[in-house]
Amino acid sequence: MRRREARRDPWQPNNSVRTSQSGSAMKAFVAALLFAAIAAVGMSILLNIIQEPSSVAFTTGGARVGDPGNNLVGPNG
Amino acid sequence: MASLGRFIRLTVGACAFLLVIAASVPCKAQQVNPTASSVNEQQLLQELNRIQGRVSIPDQRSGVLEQPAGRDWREFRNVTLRWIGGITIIGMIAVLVIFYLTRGMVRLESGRSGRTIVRFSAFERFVHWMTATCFIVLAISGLNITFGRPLLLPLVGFEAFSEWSQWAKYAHNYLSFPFTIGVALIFLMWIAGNIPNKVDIDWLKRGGGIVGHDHPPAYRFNAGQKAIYWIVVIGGGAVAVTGYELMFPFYLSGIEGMQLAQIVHSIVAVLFIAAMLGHIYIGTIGMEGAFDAMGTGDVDLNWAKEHHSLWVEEEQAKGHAPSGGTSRPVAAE
Repeated sequence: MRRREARRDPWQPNNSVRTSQSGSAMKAFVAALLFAAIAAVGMSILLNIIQEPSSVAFTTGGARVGDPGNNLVGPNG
Repeated sequence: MASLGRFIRLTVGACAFLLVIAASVPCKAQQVNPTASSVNEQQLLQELNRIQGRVSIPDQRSGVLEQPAGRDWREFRNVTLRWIGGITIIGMIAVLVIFYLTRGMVRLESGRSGRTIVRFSAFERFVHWMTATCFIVLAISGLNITFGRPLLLPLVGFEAFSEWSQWAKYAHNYLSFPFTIGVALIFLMWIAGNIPNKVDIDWLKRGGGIVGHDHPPAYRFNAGQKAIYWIVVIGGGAVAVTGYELMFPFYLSGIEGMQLAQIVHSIVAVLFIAAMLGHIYIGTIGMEGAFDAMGTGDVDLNWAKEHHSLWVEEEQAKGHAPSGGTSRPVAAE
């Protein structure tokens, strides 16, 4: 069995090689997708930590609302 | 007697009233209206090219009330850009369809040898696909910003369009980071093989094997691939820099700089999309055997010899590739 493997032309693809090549292609593609997703989510978390929301950054203490995103006079206003 | 007294008082009062009125008329005629004679808004705008005041909130930039360059930019964004983008992208699709119908797929003339040569490593393919997938999402979400409102909104309605656009914007912002990493890695990874040389001139003169019908010699990257490389590096760099200028407003420039950044970003982006459509075409249905390079990483030796003969000679000299190649053609699968 080992002899047969040793004799096989290393440049000649066979079915098992082709299957492993397809697997390798998928691995590179899936790894690329995973890395892109992780990098994107990681940057969103990092930026959310570093940056202030506009309701804090662009208002004075007097005008700051208690529940940004609802409305200025509250839910019952 | 009493009535005479009342008459006199009434007459004197009337005369006094008339005197006050008569005295005030010429005085009123000579009054100057300070508001009318002061510098008005239009004059300020002509002199300063913007109207700016002071505001009590922390962001002093919100004090800009009028900035006429914004109207020119809005005209570009809502009208001119849609024409440029539409013509460029639809034009490229039309050219590719016509080209495919007339030229068809570029076939392997010598057939498949059954022997393969490593074209791209796993890391190279990883970087390519990371950049490519990010680019596709960025392109679709970017086109939504320009064309979504006139084309998609009437089809899906306000709620669905609003929801989709919000998520598309998140994807556009955050996937820009892995895209930029990908462009930087592509630049570093393939710069050595993408410096233009004399071989490229001959390759271009002979139509590169896709317009013409022969196979001019090429090293690892031919002139067409070098063009794509520099489009990705320069175009990708330009959209990244201008995109971050827009994503982090006022860090790098004022409002005029951001308007200019948006113009550069959008024009480069639509040209980039058109170029990548051509790249995707050649890498898939345009050329037999080309997808294997970025699929499995290995290409058939005959494919490599037809399209990159000088590179194959280099690889054979290093012992990285089998010799021969055209002697044992096998049917394409």
